[in-house]
Amino acid sequence: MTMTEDVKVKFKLNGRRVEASVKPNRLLVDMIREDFGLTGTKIGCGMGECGACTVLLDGKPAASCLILAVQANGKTIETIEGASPNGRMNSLQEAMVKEGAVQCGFCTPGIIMSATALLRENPHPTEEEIRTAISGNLCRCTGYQKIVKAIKKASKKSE
Amino acid sequence: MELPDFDVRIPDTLKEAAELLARSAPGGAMSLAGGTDLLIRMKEGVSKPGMIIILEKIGKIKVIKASKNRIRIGGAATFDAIIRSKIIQNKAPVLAAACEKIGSPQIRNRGTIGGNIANASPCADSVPALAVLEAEVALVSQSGERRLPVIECFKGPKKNAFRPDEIISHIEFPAPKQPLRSFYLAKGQRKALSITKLSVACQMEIDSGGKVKKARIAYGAVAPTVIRGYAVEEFLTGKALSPGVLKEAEEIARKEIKPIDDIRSTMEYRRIVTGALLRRGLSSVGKTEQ
Amino acid sequence: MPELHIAGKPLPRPDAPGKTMGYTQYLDDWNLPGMLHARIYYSPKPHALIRRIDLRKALSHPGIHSILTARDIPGKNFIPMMKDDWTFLAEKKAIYPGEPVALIIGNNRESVCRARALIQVEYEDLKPVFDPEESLQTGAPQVNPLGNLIAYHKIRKGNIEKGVSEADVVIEGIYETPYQEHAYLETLGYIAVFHDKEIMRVYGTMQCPFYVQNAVASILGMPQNSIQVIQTPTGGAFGGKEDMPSLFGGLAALAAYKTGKPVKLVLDRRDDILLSSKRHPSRSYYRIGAKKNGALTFCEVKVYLDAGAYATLTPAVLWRCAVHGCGCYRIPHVKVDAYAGATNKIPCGAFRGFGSPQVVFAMERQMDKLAQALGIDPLHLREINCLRKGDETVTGQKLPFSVGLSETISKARSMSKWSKKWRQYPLIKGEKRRGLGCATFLYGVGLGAAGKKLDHAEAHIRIKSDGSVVFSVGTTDMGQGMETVLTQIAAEGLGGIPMEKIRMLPVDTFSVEDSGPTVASRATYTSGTAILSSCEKIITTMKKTASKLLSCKPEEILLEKGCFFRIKSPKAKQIGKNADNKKNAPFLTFEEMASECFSRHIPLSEYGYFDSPPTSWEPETGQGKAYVTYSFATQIAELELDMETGEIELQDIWAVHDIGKAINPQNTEGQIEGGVVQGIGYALMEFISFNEKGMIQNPSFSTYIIPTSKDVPRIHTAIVEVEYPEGPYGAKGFGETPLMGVAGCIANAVVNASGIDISRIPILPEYILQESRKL
Repeated sequence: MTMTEDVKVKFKLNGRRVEASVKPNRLLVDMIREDFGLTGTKIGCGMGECGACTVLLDGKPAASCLILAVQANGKTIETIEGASPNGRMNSLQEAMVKEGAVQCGFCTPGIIMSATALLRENPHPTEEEIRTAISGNLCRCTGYQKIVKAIKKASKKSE
Repeated sequence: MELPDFDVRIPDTLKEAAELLARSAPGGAMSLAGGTDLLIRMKEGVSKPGMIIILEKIGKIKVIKASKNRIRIGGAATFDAIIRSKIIQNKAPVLAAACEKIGSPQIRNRGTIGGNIANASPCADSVPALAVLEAEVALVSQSGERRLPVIECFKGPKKNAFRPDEIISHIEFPAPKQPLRSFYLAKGQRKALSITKLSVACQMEIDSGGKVKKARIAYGAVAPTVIRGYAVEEFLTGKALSPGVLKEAEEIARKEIKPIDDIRSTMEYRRIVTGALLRRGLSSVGKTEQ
Repeated sequence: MPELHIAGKPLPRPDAPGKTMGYTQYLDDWNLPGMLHARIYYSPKPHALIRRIDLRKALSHPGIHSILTARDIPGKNFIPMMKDDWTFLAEKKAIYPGEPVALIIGNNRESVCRARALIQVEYEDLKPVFDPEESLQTGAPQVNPLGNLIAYHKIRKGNIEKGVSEADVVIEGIYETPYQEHAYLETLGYIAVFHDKEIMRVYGTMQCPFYVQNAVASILGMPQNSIQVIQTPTGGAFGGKEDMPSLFGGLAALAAYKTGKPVKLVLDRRDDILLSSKRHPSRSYYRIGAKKNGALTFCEVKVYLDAGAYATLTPAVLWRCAVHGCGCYRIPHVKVDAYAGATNKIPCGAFRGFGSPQVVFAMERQMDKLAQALGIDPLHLREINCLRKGDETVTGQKLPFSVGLSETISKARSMSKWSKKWRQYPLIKGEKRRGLGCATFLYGVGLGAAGKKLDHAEAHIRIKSDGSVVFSVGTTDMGQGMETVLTQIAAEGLGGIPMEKIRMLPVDTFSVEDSGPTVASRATYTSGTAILSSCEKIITTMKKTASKLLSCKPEEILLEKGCFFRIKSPKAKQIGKNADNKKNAPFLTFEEMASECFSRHIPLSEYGYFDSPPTSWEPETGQGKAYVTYSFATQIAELELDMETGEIELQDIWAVHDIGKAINPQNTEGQIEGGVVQGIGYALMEFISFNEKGMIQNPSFSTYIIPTSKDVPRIHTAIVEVEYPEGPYGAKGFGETPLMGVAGCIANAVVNASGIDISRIPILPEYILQESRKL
């Protein structure tokens, strides 16, 4: 067994500068959830196949279960907790609630992160673009239709 | 799904990375670009490196650039960067099309082309595209740089032809003078988040008389490695893409691939549909020509 | 029906804001000080004697606290379910790959994960059997300790020979359906705490806290009043969290009991797929007949379900399978034989539809084949035979009310423009084809005669002195929206107070009594009825008190939008609707009343009870009132089919459901859309692959394929409301039905498009291609 030393990482988490000391084999998702207590980021598969652990890394959706914590160094990370910093839902979250796009809720934070990145880059996406943007987020409850509708609605609001 | 213990290094330069690799025992250290393949293999217990060398600080190997007659893609360029690159969209649309087929936005944002090659999967989407672009893979180690045609990078499924101390610094291929006809067609078990069960890539030059001047074809997931379609290429050269020629090309393709049955598809399906996709692709290429 | 203000409206879910902001804490989102982690070591063998278990190496791994085996169980090594065959930990024999043998407990996930690889078990291989029909033959290896025939049910109605002789056309068919994995996004997870070494508290993701209570009682030999099971927000279940929480929740409790520390047992995705129950695969043999005019004369079914190694819920699943085997039609002569055989594979349990999607697929294919033989429009054939009010089901049950099947057919027909398309599509030739297919079906609501014992429910409502309200029920929300619907029912039942004033408490075995499982689409109508009954009692008390305060008779009190108005006479009730008159009427608000009752020592805390209307079942004939009522539906699929690649491109699905009354139409739509997409997965892509040793080969989301956002068509839903008089506001259960017809209507659409016979799902492109080349 190799003895491994902890590594210091400094990064921006939901707008705040933070640092942590992590084992080299620590995953970003575990650091976010356990060291920072931000449990809105979920673990659905651990293999980058479901999207429940999606965070924005330098603004882009990424599966935090396939990223080492040390790779966060110098980066900007956004999690679901950063989407509603004052405890008030943003317009996308409101649309998700109003359109009935939430059922069990386990995929919801990941979907919101994917959709957030989409709407920042492309404020008026087509249905096809929405479906592509959330194609890495599995949902077993809703059938996706109401999620797509909610994202579309949120995009109209930003007009 | 726990990772084994390992040490980690984040070198600033390629030289440093090569030194680290050279110093460690064979297989003891592995380089990590996007991590979307390697970390899965480590979680599954297939790969157990004692040290991970993270390449992401090495800016040089992320760059996509075009010189007079060559296009160069850094080994750590992400699929997303490739898809968005104007250079690739204009000069090598077949590669952009192939990268779009990969996984999900989350995977395309992190996964790299170097990783896709090093993983040596026969279903790696970028590889057939690189094969028809006649790309060369530049490998750097302490003993210098060597180049391998992409099609020679694989010994078998998940077995690359690299030495453990080598890093993919970049991939290079000739830039066409004018846009060439091309396509990448692939089938998976579903429309996204999918692993390709068969694919065909093609790039060709058609002369003013409508005859094929040069054809490059490659197949994915229908042999132990990605393979070139030499027989079809030879057959097509000098011919116009008439329905009869397409039909024959389809049959030749079926004969030159060596698919198997596995969890994703069957030998028969792969054989038939690979041929059909080639014919369809060629047919659409022919149409745009007119 | 009184005018409704809250029930029946598409109001937003109270649990949605927390879920969208990431605040909602699922089981794995919290930890306790000093908590240990546990992991399962399971047998890789299909059928083997356990000779020796060597734990030494694993125990010496850093961070390992202890490793428990069957010998460490202080109570009974039996999981209470339908039969006494299922063990928590295998002791002498392991009978399927994935069967838990030991529980590793350590300081962190990493250690228990690594120590698992160090456990050494010596096995002696026995001959396995993997096919349920083979397992039922004499001479087959005995899989299950109680025998390989896990269950058998039959139906005998009329005289099958007579039915055959009366038929002008007879259609036969053999059908196969696959395993289906629930693939809920939140994996199984439990935390157990042995509080003061007196109360065993188990938290976790689950459908049936009372099952877990009974499992903990069994494994620890403790009385129910020492076991508190609390459901945590549950990230999807679909039946997959009915039986399995008993096993894993029980093991977590064992670990906490033995170590004296809080223990967390969370399965990773791989273990979750490898170790948890699935939908039963089936093989069925069908024969149906009809007269020239389309009227069915008989239906004969023999169906085999693969139960896997242990019974878990199989007897109940098989019973539903038998009752649903002949579809939603009037059939005078019926013979059904349903068998469940044990095999050396993962046990099968509950999954949305519970034994019925298998036979609905088969029967709906039969109906289409019959239509073709008779030259009748298949949707019309269903109209000819469909059950209507006053008809009798195949179990001889008269349907006195709430039969909206024919309405669903006509609505689906017009929405999909069926008549025009269905005739045209088969005429399209060439590579790209188009097809339209239908399926009609019923679903017996609730546990039915087979689950009678459990079919009751309790609700407890308390009004706080400030007028806010809490209620407890024994059924659970696993994402389907029960909390929303029950909150709406309570808000309506309490006289139209705003939903925001009402909070549903976490389901807790210490706060209500066993209300049966949350399965069989039963939560709305069982708990909803119980809530309404407790609301009535509270309102009666409040009206009585209000009448004293407002100096009038209780019947002169009108309760509207949370206010108690004094009206002059019962006749003058209409003035309640007249704002001007009401303005002048003296009134007390709900909050004022709550406070008044509190200070006058008038309790506003009431239990409500639901007792299932009677059901009956005669096992020798399969006749009786099988279920309290039925939901009905028609689903139609339209698709494009590529004959050269075998690929199916779904275009549209129309799903029209008679559910009695939609308490929350938006929720209802969500259930339909989600169920349809699970049905699409079942029809087109999902399957479990086994190796020659019965081990699952695709325990991941890259190999077990479920639909993504790009794989689903437009889904058009419509709700038909034919009131069920015994349900809350006319509602009957329906959550499972949206999945049930999808495979059938897609298969029929494939046949319409291509002429290729479909008798097996999933309909993979590989199969279509193989068959299209034969044409």
